[in-house]
Amino acid sequence: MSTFELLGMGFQNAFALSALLTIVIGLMLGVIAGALPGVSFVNAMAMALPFTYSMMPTQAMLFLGAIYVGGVFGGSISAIIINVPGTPASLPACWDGYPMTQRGEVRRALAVAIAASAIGGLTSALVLSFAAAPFATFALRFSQPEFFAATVLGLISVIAISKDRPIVSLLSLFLGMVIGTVGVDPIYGVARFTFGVPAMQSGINFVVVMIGLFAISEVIDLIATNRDLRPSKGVNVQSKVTLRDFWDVRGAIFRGSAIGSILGVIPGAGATPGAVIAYGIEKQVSPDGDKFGTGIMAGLAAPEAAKNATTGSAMVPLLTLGIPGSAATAIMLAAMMLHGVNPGPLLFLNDPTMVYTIFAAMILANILMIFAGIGVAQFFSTLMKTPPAVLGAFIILLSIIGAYGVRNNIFDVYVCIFFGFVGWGMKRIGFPTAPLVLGVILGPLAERYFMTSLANYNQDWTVFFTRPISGTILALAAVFALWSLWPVLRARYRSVVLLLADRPGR
Amino acid sequence: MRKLGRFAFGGVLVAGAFAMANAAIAQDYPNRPIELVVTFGPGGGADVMGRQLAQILETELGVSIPVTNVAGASGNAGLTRLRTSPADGYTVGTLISLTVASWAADIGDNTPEDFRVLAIVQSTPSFLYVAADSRFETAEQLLDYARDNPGELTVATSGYGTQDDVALITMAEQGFDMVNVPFSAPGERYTAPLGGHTDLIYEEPGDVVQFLESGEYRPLLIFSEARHPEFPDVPTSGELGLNMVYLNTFRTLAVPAATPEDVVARLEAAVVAATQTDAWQAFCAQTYTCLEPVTGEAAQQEILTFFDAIAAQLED
Amino acid sequence: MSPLRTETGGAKHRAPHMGRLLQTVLSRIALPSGILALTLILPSYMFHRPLRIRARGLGPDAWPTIFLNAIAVIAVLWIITELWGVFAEQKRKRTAFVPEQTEVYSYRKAAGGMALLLGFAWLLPNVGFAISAALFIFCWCLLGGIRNSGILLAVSVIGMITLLWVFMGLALMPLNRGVGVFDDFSVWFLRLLRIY
Repeated sequence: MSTFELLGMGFQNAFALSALLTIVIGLMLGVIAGALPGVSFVNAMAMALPFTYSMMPTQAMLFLGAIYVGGVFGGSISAIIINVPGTPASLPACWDGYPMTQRGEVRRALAVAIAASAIGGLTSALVLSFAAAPFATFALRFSQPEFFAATVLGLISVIAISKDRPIVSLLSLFLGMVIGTVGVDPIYGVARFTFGVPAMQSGINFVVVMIGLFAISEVIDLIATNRDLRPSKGVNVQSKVTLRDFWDVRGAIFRGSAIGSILGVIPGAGATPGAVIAYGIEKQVSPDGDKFGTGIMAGLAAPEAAKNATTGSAMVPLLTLGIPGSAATAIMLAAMMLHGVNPGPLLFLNDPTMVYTIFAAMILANILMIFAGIGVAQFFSTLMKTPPAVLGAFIILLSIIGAYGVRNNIFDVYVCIFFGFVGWGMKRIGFPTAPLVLGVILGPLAERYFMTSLANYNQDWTVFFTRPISGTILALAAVFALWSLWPVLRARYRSVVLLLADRPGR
Repeated sequence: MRKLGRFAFGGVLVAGAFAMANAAIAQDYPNRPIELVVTFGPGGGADVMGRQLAQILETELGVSIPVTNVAGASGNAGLTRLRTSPADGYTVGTLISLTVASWAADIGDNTPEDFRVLAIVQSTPSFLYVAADSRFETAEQLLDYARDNPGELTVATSGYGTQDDVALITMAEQGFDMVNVPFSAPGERYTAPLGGHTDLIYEEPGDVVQFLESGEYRPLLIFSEARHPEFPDVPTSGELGLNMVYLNTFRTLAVPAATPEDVVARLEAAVVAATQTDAWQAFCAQTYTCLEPVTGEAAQQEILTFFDAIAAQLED
Repeated sequence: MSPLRTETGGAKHRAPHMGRLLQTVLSRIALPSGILALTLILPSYMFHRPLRIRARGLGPDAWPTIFLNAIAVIAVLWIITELWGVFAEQKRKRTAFVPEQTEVYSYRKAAGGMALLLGFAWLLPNVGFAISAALFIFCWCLLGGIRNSGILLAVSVIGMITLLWVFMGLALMPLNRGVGVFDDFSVWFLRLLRIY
């Protein structure tokens, strides 16, 4: 049977009432969990896992897949409305999405975000359906040096994001990378920076750091300023959403979708580096690049498309090779194994119906997500009408539950509150917080790839440059860094001092 | 003052009432959900084992058994939670070989004496595999090459200081020097030989079923006293003249050491019964981990033996 | 869009007093100096117990050391540029880390909020999620200026029960139950809510 016939059969299955219902419920749950500050889609998928025991294996995968698709988008709702990223990948959505909300263009921001996410997700689901096999072989050629190079590209994009103050951003990034080394090291299994506290051996989890830095500190600001979150009542005429808006950001969506689809295949952190790199590249490419951070639609659309474009392609290595590249796909793997299904090349031979039903469901889920997204976003906008104090109390409790839920560890609650205070202080003095979070996310990955590369290639560090794919990515990273820094480097004496010129932290 | 006294008195009464309410029903253990602490994140071998067992135990024990993933510090974060929970049988945890190995590297603040092992439910020897297109057809070819070209062959393992490492060090001491390439992320470890990035991979069969079934991995050598019934053609390390300490990967369920005997007995019986069910048998057959569950002193002893073997390797 | 306060260099007409200059210098290099000091102190605290492992190639200290050194270099660069900035002040607009001044900011309320968070963190493991969450919502709303006791009570109790239902009941999360009497209370309460 051809791919089209198989996919047609998959669509028939996905449109069955029970399957459709599973997808819709999963999407709603995913979007809500993603949108709740603190509770990420990985939390939600882990929580949903026990409920999949009683389902058929295909249904279980549809359910988890829908939560995944919905959750990756959902994080942007809270990022846009209250400047708190619901999941790490929604971090860039704060940078241009929240300024739009402040201007009263919240509906426009949400519409662009939903459209970009859906198109990104759809692109990726199509890649999954039609190009899974070649993509999987491509991913196999990636060894540890290539992963390292890709991570370096993600780290470099931090400079691109904040080119006015590269030195302070770099410092923040490196601090994050050192924070990421706390705990048991991945190679030797020895504890680092624990100061004799056994709980510190668990390490500092990036989700917990992010919740603290963004959600907790934001709520402290909220109570200190008595800021009103109620959107100013339609004073802004521009808030009307027009088709023209979507057409204007088509390039950003296209680039974001491409970047996300490619990066999603590579095991690792997936959605977050995808979104950040897409933002960095868009900032360079877009004619409005220098205005990014003030509520530019392209700056919102590109990372939105990219992060949802990792959802489908992240399932490529899972389904074709049986390799989970991220926490989300690891949970899907567990669900399959609990049903006695082993993903891998044999799955395509033994149970093509299941595989193609999953493909069809992923395509469908990304279309249905538009409605789920609009519904939940509407609900969240209504929630903003509650008094800020009540809202703040619940955001904090949800954040703490979310931090706790990452590993069900009370230590993480303390870490989260600690970083809440640190984040508050950083914001007050205008020290950038986003690079620090990226350091905590990407640092441990980079270390692991670096150390394993050296062990694998005879402790020869030139391997990063001599292997063709790795060398190419690193060269790209260098070009990217120079390109972003060029305006700064070109500047004369007076502007050199502006290296440190301040830019608001938010 | 009087008000305070009355308040305190009231407090004591209320406390007493709760204690009694809970104690009265504590006769028929278990009467509320039992928390199963899986000491690793969702998706790993310990998680799948724990969830499978929890599902079966729910019917055995008649209460719901929610699984809690407490990952961190090589499984010690979860064990610390288990150890510090009330020893009333309402918290059960997974204790696996990787965590026991981590104790030898001074990780965690747990000791074997802190826990009472209910049963070793999974135990499996490990193999050396090559990718399907490897130049090595037999274990003899592999060993000859390793002896003639020390330090050239690379083996994907789960890290330094693990049983994988111990096995490779023991082989190196006998003249078969291969390079340990630590991959702490299982997914990356499995792809390493497939992409041709390492020559071999050291792994238990249950974690790489998909590659064994599809023929992408060929097992060359088993580290065990006897051949594996599922892989009768794969020679043992002993047959090839290797002198190894056999360190199986094992997974157990454990409770805090102070848990009352009758509760332990009830749980132990339930776990043993669970491993006899069709659901579990199908699961363990799928992951090549079937065995008669080892309980009580024998289980405790097996863990100590494993710990000592790893610690001895790290000493020198 | 920049909430940043930009001070125009007032030094055009007169040289700054030495004492004030010193104060400016110190305040502007305080943060980078602190970070620099941290990078010098931290390496000796990397491992709590002496290592028993044999390193193959780079040891477990290599990666953190690289980045601690990188931070030190950047901190020094930062200090240099700050000093340069202070002395080149006359020539340019001075920009420095200044809190956003776009709105009235009550540091007392912020401190109060942080104190509440610390209290909550301490209470949570001891008295359990139910009591500590209800107390927290109550106090936070009070801090936020809600004075209607009916609303305060309703929000905290209903809110707490909703959270318990969703996370302990539906999502099966093992939130803290507290210790001793509070554990007994929590178990009783969860039974009352039909969660257990």
